[in-house]
Amino acid sequence: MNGKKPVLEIKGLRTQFFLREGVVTALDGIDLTIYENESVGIVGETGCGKSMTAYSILRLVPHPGRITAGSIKYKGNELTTLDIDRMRSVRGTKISMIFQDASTALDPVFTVRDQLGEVISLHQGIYDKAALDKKILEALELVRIAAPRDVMRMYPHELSGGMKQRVMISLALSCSPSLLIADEPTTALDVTIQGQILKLLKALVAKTGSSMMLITHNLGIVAETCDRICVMYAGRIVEDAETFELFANPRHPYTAGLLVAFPKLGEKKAELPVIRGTVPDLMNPFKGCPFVDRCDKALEVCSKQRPSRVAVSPGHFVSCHLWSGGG
Amino acid sequence: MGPESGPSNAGEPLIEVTDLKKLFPVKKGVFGRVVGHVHAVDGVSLSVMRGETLGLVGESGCGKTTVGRAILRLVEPTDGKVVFNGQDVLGLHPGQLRAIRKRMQIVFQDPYSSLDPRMTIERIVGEGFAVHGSPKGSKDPNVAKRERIHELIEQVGLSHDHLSRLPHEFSGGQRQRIALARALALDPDFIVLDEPTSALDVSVQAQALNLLKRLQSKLGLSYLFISHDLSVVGHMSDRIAVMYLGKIVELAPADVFLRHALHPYTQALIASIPMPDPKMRKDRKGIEGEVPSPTNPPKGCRFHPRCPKAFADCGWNAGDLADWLKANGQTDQDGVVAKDAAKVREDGFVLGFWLRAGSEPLALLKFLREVTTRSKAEVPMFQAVQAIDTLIGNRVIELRCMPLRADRHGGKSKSGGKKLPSKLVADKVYHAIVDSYTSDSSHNLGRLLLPPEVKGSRVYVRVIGPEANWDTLRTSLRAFFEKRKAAGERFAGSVKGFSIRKAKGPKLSVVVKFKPVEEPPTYDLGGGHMVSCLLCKHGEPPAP
Repeated sequence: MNGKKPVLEIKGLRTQFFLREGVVTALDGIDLTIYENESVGIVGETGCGKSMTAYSILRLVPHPGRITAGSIKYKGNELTTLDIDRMRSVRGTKISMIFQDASTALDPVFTVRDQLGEVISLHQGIYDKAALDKKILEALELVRIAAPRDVMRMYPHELSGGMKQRVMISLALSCSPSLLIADEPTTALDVTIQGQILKLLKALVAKTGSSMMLITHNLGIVAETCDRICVMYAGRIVEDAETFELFANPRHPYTAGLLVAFPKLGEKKAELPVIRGTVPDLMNPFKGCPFVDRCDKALEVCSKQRPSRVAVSPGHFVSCHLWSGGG
Repeated sequence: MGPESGPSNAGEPLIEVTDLKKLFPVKKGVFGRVVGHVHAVDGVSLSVMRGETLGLVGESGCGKTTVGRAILRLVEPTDGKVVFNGQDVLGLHPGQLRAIRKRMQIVFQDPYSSLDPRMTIERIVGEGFAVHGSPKGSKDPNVAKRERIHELIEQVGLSHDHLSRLPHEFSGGQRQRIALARALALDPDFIVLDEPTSALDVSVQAQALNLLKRLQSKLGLSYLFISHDLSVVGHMSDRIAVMYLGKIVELAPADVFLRHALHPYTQALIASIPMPDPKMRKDRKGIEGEVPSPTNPPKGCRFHPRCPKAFADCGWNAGDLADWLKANGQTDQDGVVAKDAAKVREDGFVLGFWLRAGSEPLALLKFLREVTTRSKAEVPMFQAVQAIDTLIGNRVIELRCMPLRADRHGGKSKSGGKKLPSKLVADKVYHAIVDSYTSDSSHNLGRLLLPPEVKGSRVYVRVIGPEANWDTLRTSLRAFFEKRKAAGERFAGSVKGFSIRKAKGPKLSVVVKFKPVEEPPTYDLGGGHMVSCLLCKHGEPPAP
């Protein structure tokens, strides 16, 4: 698009869960490209499929779910058909992930040294103790942990929430991946610690030159951290644009609704504007737009035909009939 | 048995909390020995006016939830006073408490665990009537009850056919509405909202916040709105209080708060909120470090170790220096401290380094002095250092006190003699000796290093000083006790005798002493803006 090389290209990705009660379409045709040195934010509410996008990219979709259609290309190589061993070499070294809850993502019975050491020796083939220790110290110093020598010997329960998340980040970055997926990296943290972690993530991504996909429900976080934002709703990306463009000209009614529903500091309103209703059930396939029941501007065509992705301005895409000539 | 519903005084606060404290014991071992206390709430005073929303913000573990629960006596406060509508809540017996609880309700954070999964919505909402009796009305109580439940469920935006369903059939936002309907059932005056929207998504949160505001103006409710989210609290509250480690550090009307917050912690909280507007993207300053443990909160101002504006008198102490040395690699393998000191012991405002056998104290002494001079300008902690010294010799003064029975009988023993609890005696003796010996430089006597230890009826005070002067210390101590006894001071009377003997452990040590500091007072900046920070003393321009 702008001369940059894409790191990840997702086309028409569909992930479905085959339950006894029926089929849940968690992801319904995701198109997403992440370029080099770019941080992309994925925003949406609970159950909209943000985390499932990440799991699908890494092929970690839990049973009984599976990818049923579409392609995911990492630097031109198709990931959806890769065999397990080759996929394992992609995870960690090329694409790595930071999970939401660091306290459950770290193994409670191994020390920080063991866990970092395992990743580094598996992916980089370093087994010598002294060399490994040096690498581990470097990885911990990178995420600015105080007294890394002490932390190395500690078990996860001895670390605070912020420290655990720092260890998680050092785990994810220890093999210098070209794409880092951060799934709600600060949701479990306090606001002052959240600030520290976001600052760190931003600095590290800039330093290592990798791309980042930041998944969050917090619009404030993406506004401050990301270059481009994708808004997801009910398993689809409904709008994607550069950060400044999206916040200045939200085109999809859902995006516009989300932006105003968020109480802003220093703005006193008697009532917050709301999006009525609740998120739809993904068990029933949608004929048209999934947002139709909650949308104030819905047209007749909205409940009948699936809106296609159209460009409203260069680099700003929206899936809404209001913009695709329906109105 | 009914509540004494006095005349409603509109100008007066509905709830007044004074110096509320809640300590949770920390237990250890098979027998559950109490080894310390978590100072969850440590002297909180606040009031909630009629029809007002008081916002209470803070990070996890700061004690905001405990304040809410202690006001309702869902946890029993350790100390303090809670007055609801002129009635002292903490002095009530269970019957009276039940009556007053009708008028104070709570909505919990997690709508998934706060509703009984086996009760229908009708039973959940109507449970209050089972305890407090059906709503008044001329009709059949069952009809009255049913009508009231219908009214409630409509008030929170649900419909009648929801009543026969079970909680699992509802989404988070709907469950929170049900919890609110339950809280409203008995016509309360006051509701504690404990993070009512933090489990909800943005679009649902906006609905819930609007509902809370609408109900407040319709029913004249007073809210204590507890949340970690400053944007939400800012939207909802008339006044906002910020808590940090069990204390309120700043309290102000909402508009003053957002524009003229003075406390560095409040400023940091405001600066840390990611703004949903990329144009306001700022170079985050934020604050370093993490919230310390409430089991052993920092001395002085509790925020001082993380404070970007800290002064020399904000409460710097041994623990901070120990942390600094650790962070700067001095207690790791290669540091000067690690080479010379066998053990680093922090004790309040004194940091002691027990030296290794054969180690020369001068290197460590020189290092500490150099660091102190060098870093004075950047790190305010070093401005608070009073003295750095070597100490030779190591003695313990053992005081034999009266039996300990006094502890249990409020200071009076069976024989009728006046006896003090020995912990109190220990402190008194310690401070008296500190006063008379450390201030007087003429005799160059022992320096008291550590606070007293109490074992049974004996109190040990560790003294370190030059070897030759122990006899002089003995004589002057004796004179000191006789003088105090003659002056009729009770603590001296309960000391039966003392001896000075050698203590175990190394003889050589280096100590760094800090100036003892109290917690900062609360300054009133006018217009209901209260701040507990020494910035006010040091001449930061107060808010206009």
